[in-house]
Amino acid sequence: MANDSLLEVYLVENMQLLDRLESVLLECDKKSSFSSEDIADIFRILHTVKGSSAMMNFDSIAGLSHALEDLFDFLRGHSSRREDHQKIIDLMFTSLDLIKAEISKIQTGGMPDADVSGIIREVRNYLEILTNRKPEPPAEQAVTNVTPEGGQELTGEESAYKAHVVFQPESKMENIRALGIVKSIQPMCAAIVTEPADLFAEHSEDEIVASGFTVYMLSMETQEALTNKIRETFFIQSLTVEELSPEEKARVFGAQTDAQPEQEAVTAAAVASRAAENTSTAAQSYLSVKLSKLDALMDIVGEIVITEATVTKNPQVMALKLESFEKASRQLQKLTEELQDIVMSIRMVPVSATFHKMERIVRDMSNKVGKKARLDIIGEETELDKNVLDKLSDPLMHLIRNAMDHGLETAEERIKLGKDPVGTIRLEARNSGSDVLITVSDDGRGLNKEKLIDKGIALGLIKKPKAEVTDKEAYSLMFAPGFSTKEKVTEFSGRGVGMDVVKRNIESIGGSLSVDSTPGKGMSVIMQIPLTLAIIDGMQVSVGGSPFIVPLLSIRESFKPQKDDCFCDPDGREMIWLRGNCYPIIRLHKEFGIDTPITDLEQGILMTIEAQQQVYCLFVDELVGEQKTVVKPIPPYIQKALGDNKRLAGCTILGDGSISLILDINAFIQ
Amino acid sequence: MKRVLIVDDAAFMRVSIKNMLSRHNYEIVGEAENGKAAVMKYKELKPDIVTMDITMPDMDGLTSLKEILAIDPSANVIVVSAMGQENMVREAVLLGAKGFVVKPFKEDTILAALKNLD
Repeated sequence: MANDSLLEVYLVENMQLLDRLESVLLECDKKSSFSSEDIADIFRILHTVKGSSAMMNFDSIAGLSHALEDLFDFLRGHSSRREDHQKIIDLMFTSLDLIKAEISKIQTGGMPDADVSGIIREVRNYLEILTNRKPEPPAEQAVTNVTPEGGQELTGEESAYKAHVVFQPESKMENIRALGIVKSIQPMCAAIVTEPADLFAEHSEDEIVASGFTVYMLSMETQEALTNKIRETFFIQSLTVEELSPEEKARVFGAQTDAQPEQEAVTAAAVASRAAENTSTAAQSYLSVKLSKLDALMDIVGEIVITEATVTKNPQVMALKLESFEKASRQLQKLTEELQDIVMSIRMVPVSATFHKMERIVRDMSNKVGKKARLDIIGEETELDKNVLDKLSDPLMHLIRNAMDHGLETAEERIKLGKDPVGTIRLEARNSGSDVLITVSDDGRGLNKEKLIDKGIALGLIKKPKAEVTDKEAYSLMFAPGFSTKEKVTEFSGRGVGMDVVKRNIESIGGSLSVDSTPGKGMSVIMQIPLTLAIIDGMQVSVGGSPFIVPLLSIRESFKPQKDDCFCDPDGREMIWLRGNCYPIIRLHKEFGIDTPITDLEQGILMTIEAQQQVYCLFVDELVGEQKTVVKPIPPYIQKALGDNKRLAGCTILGDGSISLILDINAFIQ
Repeated sequence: MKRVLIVDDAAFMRVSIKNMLSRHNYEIVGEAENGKAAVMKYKELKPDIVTMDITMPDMDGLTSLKEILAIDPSANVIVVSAMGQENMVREAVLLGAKGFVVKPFKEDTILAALKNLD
């Protein structure tokens, strides 16, 4: 249990770190240089990833991040050449992908087991090249001779002791542990000699591991006091302290008369200037919460909203006309609304992280398809429900790939056409009522309408004469399943999953999309995405006694129609004339085959609905009232009964406990 | 019950150490995610033991160690380091860290280190 939560912390933290690493790298790639802050930042991230992964025994990740850490450790201390940066960035991206892949293995319950030896070798080799090219002395501090600080004056009265220390296996950095001993006994001794003499010589550490560490002391203190002091050191496996015979004393310390001990190990290491590392990051008081917990919270809030309506609108209680009850229920209603707003706001995240991920795709593809492109991001602070945003990532990726692969021309073509050789892909988000509009556009060659229609006819997707096909119909073909005008399937766009996935994903989150294109100037795909999937403001209407919910924000107005304004067009479709415009009338009772006494337009109500920039009128029996609507998926048994009828966006439970269907207003567009 | 302050910028390491110690009669009285916060928390909480990471933003472990020892020369600071940081560990020992553990370490290792301070 504890391990599970530890793993969770590991995953969350490391994913965040890797995302940050990626964005720092992209920044560096853009300016094709590393500032000292970048290097310090990258080093710290790699260091943390290495440490945590080693603790979890994820050796592949630990090993690779260790190699990269060493590389950046080197870069911290040395200026590097500009031409190195591209190589380093490439190495980093390759490694980053590997580490991310390993982490996703862990996420799906597997073990990270990739063979990273190749890439580690590549990093190490490269580090070696860098090191050899700049034959500067290693940044090792000079070993300086110091008199024991606070050590005792040599009087000649001291006894000589020898202590032999063996450290526990695997206690690591044994020479520094030995240094710790020297440091701790220093104030008690007049002279100290160690074996090995230089603790930081090349083989000292191995020597200490193999045969232990010996320290000779000249001290006025008792053997016991010295023993106890040494024992304070960590990870000592065995310790023997003995007094030296006069001969041995003479051999080790000679005719030492001054307080200068032979050993040179004790060094007040110069503190390297580490100011560069102190980039200040404002203290953040954030809390990471598991998304599933927020989902559960959202569900419960949804239930509370419904229950609140069930209680306060209970017909029997309403009949009693209780003033205090009404007051209390108004208060309850206010509070549930606040609760709902807060929960919604918790779930809202800015699109910026998802958008910036696309930079990576543009970068990788520019390298591989040989087209230069720039990604302009606009409105990255726009917020969307986390669940909605997660589903947006794939469609965006497809669209960007498509733009890179098919939309943009090569640099040579662009120069010939008098365009900037570097193509531009724009990724834009902005709010529009209860929706967010996300646009992916490029300044490439645009869509070829002719070609689209030909292909559409060939595939049997278009059944009317070519001349009658509108731009919109032609463009929307690109999202049809199995449709690709490109004969050649490249690595990036069109690996079996076509643009139809884009449409399906967008529709699955209740969104819609439209395409615009100007030949020679580029194209844009506009996606209209609902802010949230969970709770909407709805208008409850009734048709033949059955309740339906219409999303409130799509209703322009509701009115009782005049018979004179209504007419039929040559095809027999009912239309209404409204302030100089005419709109089609859709009778809900006909759409769903409901028997209702109200079939005369003047008896019922018309609602003007706006969806995807189109307007139509919906005919219903009556308006019941506004209703907070918790959107729930349609249960399978209802789905079955509905058959192919796709004009529903979901269902909800009303205050009286009955089920009401939520209309998908986009589905009625003709 | 010894009172411990854990200093590390990685949440994972803080949780790991916390899990390891709180099973064994240590009370985790505080956590800090950088050296600066560590000094402040040290003043405020006066813990018996501090576990100190080295590489952190906003004041590294060595500077923090120095400042803590300036406040309380008898402070029990244990450095939590990793392979490759030998120079800094050496400096920490010279500055007066009571000892160090090297990542990756097991529960027994850090417990043995802390026990040494008794």
